[in-house]
Amino acid sequence: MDDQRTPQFAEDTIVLGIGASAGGLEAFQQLLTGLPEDHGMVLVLIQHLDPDHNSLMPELIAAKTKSPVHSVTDGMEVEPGSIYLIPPGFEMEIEGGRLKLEEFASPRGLRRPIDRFFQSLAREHGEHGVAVVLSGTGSDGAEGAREVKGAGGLVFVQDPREAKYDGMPQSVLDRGGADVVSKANEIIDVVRDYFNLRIDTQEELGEEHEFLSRIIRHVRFRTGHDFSEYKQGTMMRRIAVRMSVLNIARPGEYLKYIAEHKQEADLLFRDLLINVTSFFRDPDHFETLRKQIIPEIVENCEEHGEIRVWCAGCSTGEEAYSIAILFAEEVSRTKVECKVIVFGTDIDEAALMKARAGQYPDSIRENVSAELLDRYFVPRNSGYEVGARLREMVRFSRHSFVKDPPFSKLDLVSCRNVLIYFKEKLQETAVRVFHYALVEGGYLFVGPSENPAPVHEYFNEASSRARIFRRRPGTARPLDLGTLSGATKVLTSLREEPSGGSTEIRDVEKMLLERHVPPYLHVDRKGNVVFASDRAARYLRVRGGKISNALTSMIAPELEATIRRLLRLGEKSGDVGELEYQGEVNGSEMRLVICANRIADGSVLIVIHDQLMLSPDRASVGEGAAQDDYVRLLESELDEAKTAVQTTVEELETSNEELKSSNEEMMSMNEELQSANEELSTINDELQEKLRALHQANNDLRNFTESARIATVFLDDEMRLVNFTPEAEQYFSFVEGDEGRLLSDLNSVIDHTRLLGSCRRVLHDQIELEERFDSIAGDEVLSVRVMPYSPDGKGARGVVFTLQDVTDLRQAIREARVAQAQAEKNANEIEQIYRTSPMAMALIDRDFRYVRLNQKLAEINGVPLEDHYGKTIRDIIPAVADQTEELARRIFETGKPIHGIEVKGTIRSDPNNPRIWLSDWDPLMLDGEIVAASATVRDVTEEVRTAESLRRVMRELEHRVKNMLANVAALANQARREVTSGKDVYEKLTNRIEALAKTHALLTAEQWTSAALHDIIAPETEAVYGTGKVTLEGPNIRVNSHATLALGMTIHELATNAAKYGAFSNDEGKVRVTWSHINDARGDRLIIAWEEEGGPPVKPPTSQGFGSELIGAAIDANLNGKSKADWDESGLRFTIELDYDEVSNIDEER
Amino acid sequence: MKNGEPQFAGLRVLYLEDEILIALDVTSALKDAGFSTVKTVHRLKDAWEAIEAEAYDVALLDINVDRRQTSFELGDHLKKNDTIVVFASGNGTDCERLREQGFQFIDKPFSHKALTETIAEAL
Repeated sequence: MDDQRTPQFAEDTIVLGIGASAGGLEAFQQLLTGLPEDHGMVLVLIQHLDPDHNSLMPELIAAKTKSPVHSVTDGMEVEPGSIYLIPPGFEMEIEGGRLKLEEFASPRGLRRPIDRFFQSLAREHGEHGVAVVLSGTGSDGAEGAREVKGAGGLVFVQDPREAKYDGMPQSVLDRGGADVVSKANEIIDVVRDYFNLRIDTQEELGEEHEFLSRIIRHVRFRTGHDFSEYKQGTMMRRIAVRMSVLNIARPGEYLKYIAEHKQEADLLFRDLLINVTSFFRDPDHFETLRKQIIPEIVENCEEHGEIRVWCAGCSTGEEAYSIAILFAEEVSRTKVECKVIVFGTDIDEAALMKARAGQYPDSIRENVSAELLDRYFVPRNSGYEVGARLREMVRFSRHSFVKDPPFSKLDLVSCRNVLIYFKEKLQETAVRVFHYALVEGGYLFVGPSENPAPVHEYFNEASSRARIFRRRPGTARPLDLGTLSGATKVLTSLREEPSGGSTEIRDVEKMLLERHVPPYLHVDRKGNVVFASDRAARYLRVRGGKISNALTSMIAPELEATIRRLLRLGEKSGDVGELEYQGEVNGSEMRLVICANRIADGSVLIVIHDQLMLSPDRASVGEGAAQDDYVRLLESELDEAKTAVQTTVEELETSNEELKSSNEEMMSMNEELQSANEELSTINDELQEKLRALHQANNDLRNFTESARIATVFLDDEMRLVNFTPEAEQYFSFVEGDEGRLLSDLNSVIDHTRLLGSCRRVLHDQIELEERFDSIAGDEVLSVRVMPYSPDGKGARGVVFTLQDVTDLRQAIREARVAQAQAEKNANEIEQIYRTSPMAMALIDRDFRYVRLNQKLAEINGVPLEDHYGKTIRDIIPAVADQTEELARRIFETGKPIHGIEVKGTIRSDPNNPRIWLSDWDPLMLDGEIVAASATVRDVTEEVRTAESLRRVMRELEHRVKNMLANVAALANQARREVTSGKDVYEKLTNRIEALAKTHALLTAEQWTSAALHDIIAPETEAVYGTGKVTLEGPNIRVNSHATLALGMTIHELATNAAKYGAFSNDEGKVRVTWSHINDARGDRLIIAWEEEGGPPVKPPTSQGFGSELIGAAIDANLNGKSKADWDESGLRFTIELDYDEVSNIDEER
Repeated sequence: MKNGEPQFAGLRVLYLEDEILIALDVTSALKDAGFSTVKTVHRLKDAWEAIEAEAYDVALLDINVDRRQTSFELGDHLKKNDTIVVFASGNGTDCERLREQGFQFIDKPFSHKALTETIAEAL
């Protein structure tokens, strides 16, 4: 069928609803292993998922199947061949080929998504729906599965023995909803076989009317219930399901099966009766009942009266209890004093058992309000049990309302979802039964889809929507329930037979029978009088005590013996017996001939001929010898019988006593056994736990040994291999299965004899040892450790040895030694340097303690080296502690070196001699952390003092030079005053000396480094002639001492010339000196321009005087510059051009 | 004096001195002493340039010239080329060593008379 199926979803597509909870993933994966690629079915998995977490199901499932796997979204269309998974947080229904999602309305714990989906599956897909319940706890799915089954679908449960959690499968089984119990991986196969088979079967069954009636007869034979008036379609479906489940294809085979297997009729019977029921099923209808009907019934009840309700076909009792609750509520509300009795009846004894137990799962919370639950139920472990109040009201009994005499005087009959299974004729019977049973105006409550035609004949509609009807007034027609009962059939036919003839003949016969026929009695095969003719009455007599209609107790005592003999008639039809009686009957002498005739059905017709004629060949009973003999015979028989009975009774009593005592013994033994059993199960639990722990320990050990990756070999006391780790295979030619072989038989890479020797020694001494082995090939060095070992953990001895390749280790050790020697050497060298360094060095820790120092520092500190250790700087040289601690702290804080810090202070041993030290501070880093501050110290006291005295000498010298120049100038002045001629020569000399002194003074003030250009020019010009005559313009440029001296002389010469011949020689003359720094293509230059104007007319000099010579020497030769004089008539223009670097490069002469 | 000492006639002298006034004075003195050529330079570099261009019979070299340079190397070079070298310095520390090496030495400040005598002695 798969091949012809289009991928479109069709009405006959098989839809599997699969419910699972705890342990369901595994079960579902197993189920999928049986799923072929082209299955063409729709699989919908309903799981209990944590709504707060995304489900990994789609990925996990997709890995197991080639079918498309969809996580359902609302309104998703189903396609054959696909698998659909419910998403977390939703419940789901299938409707019109689409999956609809809805968020959970009920709180967690009350959610039953599986039931809900199954219900929609039953509603939508009927006999094409399959419900599968896999592993899980709780009972979700049990109700829904029943509905699927009720709708003609198939219900599978995972074998509870296989399921990880059997709660859900078991509860489906308990509720009687399972068709097939199977292993998860076989379910798909069975489903496919089933549908393949069912299609064939149904076609075949359709033609087999005879088959169905034979099945019905069989069920009636086995169960006493007649389904012949049940609807054929339903029956066929259920039979088809049974056949498919049993894998029976042919109707004949099923007939054979049902005949051979007694329980099959029961199973089919149960399946036929499958009835879905729940508390307040169809709540709207119950609401109508509660609001309209029940109040009226209660109101009309007499004071202390009785309200009688019959719940026919009550199944597991929910309906009966529901109605009882409604009545109880109404009675409490109105406080009417009356008693309510609810009869719950069904033909299914198993269902009734459940009804009587009154235990229901948690799921009833969905249908019964918390208030009612609280009032009428008692909470139990896994659900609720009906309380005492309901138990008082409701009585359950096995009863067939179409077969057994009905209840009577009822106020309400509820018969829901039963009539739909009946053919019309049986429906009418049922309606008549209810009509009969109800009081006038009583109500009938039927199922929502039920509208049996006969109802309207006997009932009026009270509520058409809620399917409630009211009995019409009028007496009930007598019921004829015998039609379904074989037992009463004979009588009925006897009674009915005469009615077959004409009235005339009947009258004649009647007359004949009454008047002319001898007295006769009709007795059934058991000897009970069924009929006695009028005239036979005089031979009958009522006796005291319990009335029985046995002929022997009704017949006149005188005739009893005769009758008894006659009743021992042959069993065959037509057998005749005849006896003659002579004697008194009822006080008058009689002579009777009594005949007995066996009739076909086994009953006996007895005719009494009242006649006097004796026939010699007829045996007679009565007074006389023969009779006496007979009586004696009887009495002796009686005595014997009495004795026998007496003996038997005594024996029975004795054995009864014995039985009683053995029973007691058994009871006590049972008690003992039970307690022993409990103990055993405790021990079992303990053992289980121990086993688990042992298993765990074993596992851990194995994992440990494996993960250690150490070649290990276990030997017993004969040096046979007990066990080994895979790593040992490197050194020995072990293969699996070598256990038990002698180690000496197995090849090894090391010296066998020596190894075995070591092992024997350890075995003997029981002291472990470790030895080195070089491999035979010589390329490996192995460290072998041999230890004593007990293979069984008790007395047995053995050894275990481990092998470790230490080749690399040895090499590493060798290298490490070399490295260590090198490191030691390095350390020594450093130590040496440290010790002999002329620098004083120390390491200071965070507490300012000396960690290390050298002799030099100890000397500086004036304290022996050893005395420093553990002491702080403050301990050793308190005078410098403030300064040095601050420096060390900065090192630790910043990690940056601090160099060239002068520290002043005194040492303890020489407190009167202040010292100066130059110190460098560096962080000592170790693994990125500052572990010490390293200080390098040099005593610079002497150097500093020398420098100071040098400076003093220099200052003194300058002072003396100044004085010297002043003395020279004084000498020149003196000479000028003394001479009589050439005074101007001396003046010139004096002026030159003074100018030189000024320049000198200027440089001295600047410590012979440099001087500002302005300061060089101003003393000879502006300072002498005032700003009115002199303009100085130029940037602030400093020139070195060399240039200062040269420029000083040059300016003096120019000023002297101007005073003599130029702009300083008259009142109008003006001198402008400008300078600038020009850096261009011609070089980096300092240009100084001397410009005169307003002086007397200028004439160029005729010969070169000393002044020009001096300037030439100073500017051109000395400073490597260029000087140029322009003797313009209006005034001298003198330009000096100097290399800027030459004059600005300042010497640090001091 | 004006006509100079006849013994210096025809001799060429190189004079290195960076003090301007002294250079002017001594230059005059050397000319007065009768040297046929007096070449005065203020810088060591100029001195080297001068001996490249011309040979001199006598060289009067101030030791500390031209900003902390010394004229020892120049003196060695000249001596090897048979020039009479007279070092002049205000600092007498090098005096003995230079004399041992065959140089003339004259302490600054010096008189014109001491100068001509020192040079004459070397000739």
